[in-house]
Amino acid sequence: MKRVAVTGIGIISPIGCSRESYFKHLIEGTSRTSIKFLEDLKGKKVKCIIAESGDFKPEEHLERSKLRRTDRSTHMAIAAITEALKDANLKINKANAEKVGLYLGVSLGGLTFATTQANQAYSQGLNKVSPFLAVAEFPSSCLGEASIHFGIKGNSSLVSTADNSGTDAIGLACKEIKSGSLDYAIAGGTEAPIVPICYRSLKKLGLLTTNYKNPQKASKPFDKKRDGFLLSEGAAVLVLEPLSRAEKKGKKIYAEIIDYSSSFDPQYDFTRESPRPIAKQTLNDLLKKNSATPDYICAYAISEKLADKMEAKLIRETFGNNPEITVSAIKSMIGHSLGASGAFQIATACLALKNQVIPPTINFEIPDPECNSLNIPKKAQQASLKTVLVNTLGFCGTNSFVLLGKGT
Amino acid sequence: MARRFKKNRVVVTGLGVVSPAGNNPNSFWEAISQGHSAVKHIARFDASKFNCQIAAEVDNNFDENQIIPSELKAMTDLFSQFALVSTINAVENSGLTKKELKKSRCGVIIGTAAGGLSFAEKELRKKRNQLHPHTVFAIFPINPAVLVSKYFGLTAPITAISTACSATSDAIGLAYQRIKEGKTNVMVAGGADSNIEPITFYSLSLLRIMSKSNRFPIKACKPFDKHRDGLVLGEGAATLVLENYEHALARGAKIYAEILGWGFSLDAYHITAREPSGDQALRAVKIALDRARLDPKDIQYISAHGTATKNNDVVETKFIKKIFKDHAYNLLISSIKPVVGHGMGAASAMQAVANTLIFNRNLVPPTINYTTPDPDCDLNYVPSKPVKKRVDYILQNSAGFAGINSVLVLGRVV
Repeated sequence: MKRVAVTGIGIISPIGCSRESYFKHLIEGTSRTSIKFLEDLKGKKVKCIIAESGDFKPEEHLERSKLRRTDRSTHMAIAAITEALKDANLKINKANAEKVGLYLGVSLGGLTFATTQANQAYSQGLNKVSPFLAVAEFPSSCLGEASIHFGIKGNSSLVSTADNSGTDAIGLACKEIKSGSLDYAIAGGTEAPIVPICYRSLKKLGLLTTNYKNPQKASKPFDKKRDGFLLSEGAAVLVLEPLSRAEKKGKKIYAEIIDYSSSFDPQYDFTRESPRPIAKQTLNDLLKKNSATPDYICAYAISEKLADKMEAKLIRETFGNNPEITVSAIKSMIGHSLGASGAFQIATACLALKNQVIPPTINFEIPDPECNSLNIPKKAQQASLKTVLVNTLGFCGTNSFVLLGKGT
Repeated sequence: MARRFKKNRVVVTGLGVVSPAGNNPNSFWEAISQGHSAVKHIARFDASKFNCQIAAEVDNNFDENQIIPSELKAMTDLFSQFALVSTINAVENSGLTKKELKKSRCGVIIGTAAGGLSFAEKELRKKRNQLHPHTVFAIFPINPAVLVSKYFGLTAPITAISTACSATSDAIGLAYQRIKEGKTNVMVAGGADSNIEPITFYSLSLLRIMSKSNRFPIKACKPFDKHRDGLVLGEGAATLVLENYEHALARGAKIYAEILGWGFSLDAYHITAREPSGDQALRAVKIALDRARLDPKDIQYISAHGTATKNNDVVETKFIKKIFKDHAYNLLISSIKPVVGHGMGAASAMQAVANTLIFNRNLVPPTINYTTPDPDCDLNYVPSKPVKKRVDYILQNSAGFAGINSVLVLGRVV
């Protein structure tokens, strides 16, 4: 079994459209959350609190003809892949194309494209519909377009496991590197869910924050006054390759992905307080198998009442009151980008390990007694990090955990 | 001759199907082997102004045993409902109990091209305040796997693979790997799609890949025929219960077939057309045959992707000839799509169920509507009538938008 190194990272996020800009703003504790009025089909405005990747300029990454036939999630994925490849100094050519694979996670597919098209069809008639609608709305679109754009021909997949999509895509890609069936895997998540149909559906379920007065304080994981998650968008992509080869070549290594494990909690119901015993068991097995204790947990922490409480309980029951373990919630700054969110956590874990710094959790003002005994710094902290744990605990009951170690 | 792996062999022990041509494996088999096409004028919406007005639709009464409660029906897309019914039937067919499924750490992998985007299209048609709160969850491609795992109380990892029209070949491939690696003894692998909604349908018709033979729906889809003019859209679901061979033997299960290999590649060429040389598709075939430890000449039947588009059928024929050389002319090749339509993500699931049954019935289903040979497609496509033959090894081709190639190799259990 080969070990897996992360040698490239690409990011399009609400707080920065490059790896460096993202991490700088993350460490500074930035929020660019805003109020926006999205127009729905009937021309009515829907007031939303969202974290958009406002600085993202798709036209810098794709020619017009491709932009017009694809969804925003594809644009962001291609931009993030471009950056990750450059970072890893990986050039895909005829000689290596069949040994390079692409593993992307997306939960909703091209919903932005689909909604815009439906909008046009219902208001101006079907003859306004793009012939590329079906192709662009399928979740596979980002995989297909990116494979064409970069010339990727190796074993690949499009994983769609709701909130866990990005984490599971990276987990699947690791397996291909470990087994040696791929020389390089490009893996991550992308999502562009900021459309009225998505916002209104999640809001009707009571899952979104309604802190319209102070949007930048809307996302407050583990805080007593948290009232729902902040919908956001973005893409985070990693380049994975065998650790020994990366070391031999003297490549920059952000981190090692030590292990990944996933499971499902059939009893879990996000509408009420319900146990998540399988998550706990999966996490315990993973830690035991690797004899690992994390120094830092890059938590799922979405800022929703029951979900944060459940995760805090899971951490407490697994690690006890260990003050050595620091927890952070990056969603306090970048919100919840559904299928991309796990890839953001993993990319953040890599950057934290490389820079030996733990990002802050902003808006964490009044600790919720029900999420107590977690060590959650409000400001960024220098730390000696060896092992990082990433939790992804989706609303559907899907559990995914990733253990990362310090690269050499 | 084949050299078999001895450890962790993966066999098929349960089948379920919800298709335009029948909602159980028997009636589905009857339709595809006898060539009774389910293609009709579209009933679900008024398509009279469209270029393409035909499709193969699943009957409204597909949930014959009323498995799905009405409140669940209201909050899920048809693709999830098809998958749930087909999976429950497949598990029942396998004879595995809930307890056995749990004990063997059964995982669920579902392939789909669109997920629940049709649900979104329907919701967008409604008045503003009527949006179903669960819309987002209904769209998630993972939705059916969640429903299945909750239904049986399963705790193993669940996944949805969305690699367009080859999604279920990939779902089966991944499930096969999990058993092969010894992670579990049982996997549920299936696929589902439902895209017969006006906007999506209209958009597909603009791609010039759909048949305009609206006058004779059952004769519309003509794979490999010189006068073929495009695919006919289908829908539905199909599920396979995959099991470790020893595990299946120990419980005295009925064993339908063995999954021997899976191969994948990307063309990296074009968003809708297949790469003309077929070289990447060919590479996927080679990977699958290598993993199966078979020579090309071991294969006797190819379950073709056979969509009846100009492009696919020529490229598919070409790469078959490239890899099989002279043996290509001995092969039986057929497409079931004239009967059940192109079920997109469900297409390869239905192919897999059909292929599994071939070992059982010693009959190869025909390609119906094949009457005029195309000089570019000059192989034996089993025209019109089924052929009686004992087949031991089958190759299953699938292809998805943007040049996704996925290939499975299935074998008779001996």
